Amino acid sequence: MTRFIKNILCLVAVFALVLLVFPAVAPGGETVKVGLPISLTGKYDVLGMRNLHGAKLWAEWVNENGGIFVKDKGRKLPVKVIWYDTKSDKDTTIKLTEKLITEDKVHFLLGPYGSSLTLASAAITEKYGKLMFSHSGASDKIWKQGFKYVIGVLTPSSYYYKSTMELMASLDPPIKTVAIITEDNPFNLSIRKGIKRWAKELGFKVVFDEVYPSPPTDLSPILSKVKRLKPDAILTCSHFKDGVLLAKQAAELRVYTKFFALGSAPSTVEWWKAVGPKGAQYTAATSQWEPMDAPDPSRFSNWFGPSMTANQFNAWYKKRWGKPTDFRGTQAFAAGLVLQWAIERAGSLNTDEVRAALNKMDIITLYGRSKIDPATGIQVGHGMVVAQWQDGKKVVVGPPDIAVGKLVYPRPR
Amino acid sequence: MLDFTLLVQASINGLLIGGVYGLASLGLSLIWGVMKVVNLAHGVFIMLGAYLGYGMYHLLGLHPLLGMIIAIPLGAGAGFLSYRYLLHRIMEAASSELEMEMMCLLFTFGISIIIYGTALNIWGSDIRGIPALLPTLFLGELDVPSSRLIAFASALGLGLILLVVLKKTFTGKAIRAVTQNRAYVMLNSIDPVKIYQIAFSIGITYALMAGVVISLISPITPFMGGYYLLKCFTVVVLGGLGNPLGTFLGGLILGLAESYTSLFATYAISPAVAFITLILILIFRPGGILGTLR
Repeated sequence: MTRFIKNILCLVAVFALVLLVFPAVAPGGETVKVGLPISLTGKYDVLGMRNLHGAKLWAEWVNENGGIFVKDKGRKLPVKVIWYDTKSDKDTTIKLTEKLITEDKVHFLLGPYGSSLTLASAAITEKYGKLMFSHSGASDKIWKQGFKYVIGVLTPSSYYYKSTMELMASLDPPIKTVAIITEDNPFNLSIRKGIKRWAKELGFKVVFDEVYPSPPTDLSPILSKVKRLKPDAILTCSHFKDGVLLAKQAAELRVYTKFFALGSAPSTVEWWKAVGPKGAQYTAATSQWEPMDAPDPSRFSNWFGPSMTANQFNAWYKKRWGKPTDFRGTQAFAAGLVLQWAIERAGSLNTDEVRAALNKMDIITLYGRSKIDPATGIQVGHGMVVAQWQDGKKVVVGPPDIAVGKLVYPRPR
Repeated sequence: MLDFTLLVQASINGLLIGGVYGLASLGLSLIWGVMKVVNLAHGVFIMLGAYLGYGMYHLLGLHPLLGMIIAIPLGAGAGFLSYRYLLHRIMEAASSELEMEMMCLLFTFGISIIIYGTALNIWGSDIRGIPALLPTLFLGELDVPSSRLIAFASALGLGLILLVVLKKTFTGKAIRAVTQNRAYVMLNSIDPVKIYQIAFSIGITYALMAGVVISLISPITPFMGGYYLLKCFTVVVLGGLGNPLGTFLGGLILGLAESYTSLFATYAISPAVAFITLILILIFRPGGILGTLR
C-alpha cells in the first residue's frame, strides 16, 4: 500500500471519528436541546418518573412531526431532551442544572420535581439567563423572587382552591361556615392564604383555622375540635400522606360535614385504597388535571398541540409507558408544548425573544388553558379541576363547563 | 369556656396515641438502658414492622396484627446477627466508653441508611395504608376509634410482657443486673455479651412489633421511621432509660401533652410543648420520671 493511500485512509478515519463524537456540528444536525434535572431515585422517584415520561413523550411527538419550526433557521429542528437524575436532592439538582447549562449547552430547561427543587434550580437558570418551564413547582414563592426567566405551567398554590370554592358557592343548601386544616410548611400555608382570600370574596365564614406540625403521627386533637364546631365544609391543605391520615381519622371520629375537600391529596389514584372506602367516599379533590372527556379540541380556535382530550392523552401515555399517568406526566408534556409554541411564535431560539413571545400566549392544550403574567411568568390561565370520589371512582364534578358527573352534596351521613 | 365532652375526648385521643408512642419506644429504651447504645436504626425497624403488617393484610388477606408472628423470629434473628457479627465487634474494638458510644451511634446510623435506602428501592416512595377494619365505638358523644383502641391494647399487653420478663425471669434479672454492674455480673458466671445479645434482639423485635401495631393507624412510607424515632427519643428520656413502665408512662405523657395543647392552645405548638415538658423533667428529675430500672 502506498503512503498516499495510507494517509487518505487515516484522514477518513479521523473524519468519521469526529462525526461520531460530535454529531451536532455536522451540517444539518442542529437540535433544540432541552435540559431536565429530574427525580428518578429518592423521595420523589415515582412522581419524577412520570415527569420524565411526559417530557419524553412530547419530544417523540415533536420529532415524529418533523420537529419545531424555527423561522430564523428556515426549517424544522428536532428536539432532544437531556435528563439527569437529581436523586431528589437539592445540592445534586443545583449541580446538574449547572451542568446542563454549561456542559450540555441546552437551549431551554424543564424544571425539576416539586417546588423546593424548582426554586433551587431556578436560582441557577436565572443566573445564566436560561428559560426554565416549571411543570411541577406550584408554590407562589417561586414567582416572588423577582426571577425573569421562570415560566409557570401549572396553577400556583394560592389558586388551588379557587374553582372548588366557586363550586361551593353555588350549592344548595348553601355552605356558610368553613374549617381550614393546614400542614405547617410554606407550600401548604400558601394554599391556605388562597382559601382565606376566596372565603372573603365568596362570603364564607372561617370558623376554624389551625395549623398542625409536620410530620404528624396523630391528627385526632385537631379533628375533635373541628367536630364540636360543626362547620358546613372542611378544606385541608396537606400532602397525600397527611391527607390519608386526615380522611381516615375524620371517619373514625365521625367528623361529618356537608362537603369535605382535601386539596390535591385525593387526586392521586392510590387514594381509595390507602384511605379505605369508608373514609374516602365523597371526599373531594382539587386537581391540576384529570383524565376526562375534555377539553374538546374542536371547540377552541387557539388549540395547540396534539388534538386529543385528557382521556385520549392518558390512553396514549399508557400505550407508550405501560401505566396511565396523573397530572404529573401531563404537566411535563404541557411544559414542552408551551416551549414549542413560544419558539415557533418567536421564530428563534434566543431566550429573550422566546420570553417576549410567551407574554402574548393564550392557548388551550390537552392540559387546559395556558397564559402567563408577563411581569413575573406565573401561570394565570390554567384552572383547577374539582373531582369527587364516588364508590371507588374519581368523578370530575367541576368547573361546570367540563364536569362529567354531579357532585354528591350534601355528603350522605 | 371549657367544653367537658371535648376535654374527655381529648384525654381519650391523647391516651390512645400515647400508648402507641410508649410501645414504639420500648425497644429503644431497653437497648439504650442496658447497652448504652443509642440505636438510631430503631425507626427503620418500626418502618419494616409497618410494612410487615401491611403485607399481612394486603398480600395474605390476614389481620395485620398477625404480622407479629413473623416479627418475633425476624426481630430475634436480625438482632442476633447484627449484634453478634457487627455491633459486638465495634463495641469491643473501642478503647473508651465515649468512643464506644460514638462508634455505635455511627454504626446504627449507617444501618438505618442502608435499610431505608433498600426499602425505598423495593417499595418506592408510594404511600400505603390499611383501612379501618372495625367500626368506631361510640360512647354517647365520645368516639373511640377501634383501630386505635386495638393498638393501645396491644401496646399495653406487649409492655406488660416485657415488664414481666425483666422482673420475673432469670434472663430478665440478668439483663437488669448487667445494666447496674457489669463486673459483678461476670463474677456470677453470667456472660454479659450473651445478655447484650438477648437485649438487642428483644429491642429489635419490639421495634418490629411496634411497627406492626402502627400499621393499623398510620400511613405507611419508607420515611415514617424518622418521624417515630423523634417521638421515641422524647419518650425514652421522659420515662427513664431501660424502664418499660417509665417508658410507657412517658408515651402517655407525650400523647396527652400533644392532645391538651391542641385543646387549650393550638396543635401547631405541640412539638414545643413536648420539648418544654422534656426540659422540665430533665431539670427536676434528670433520670426520667421513674429513673433507670433497678
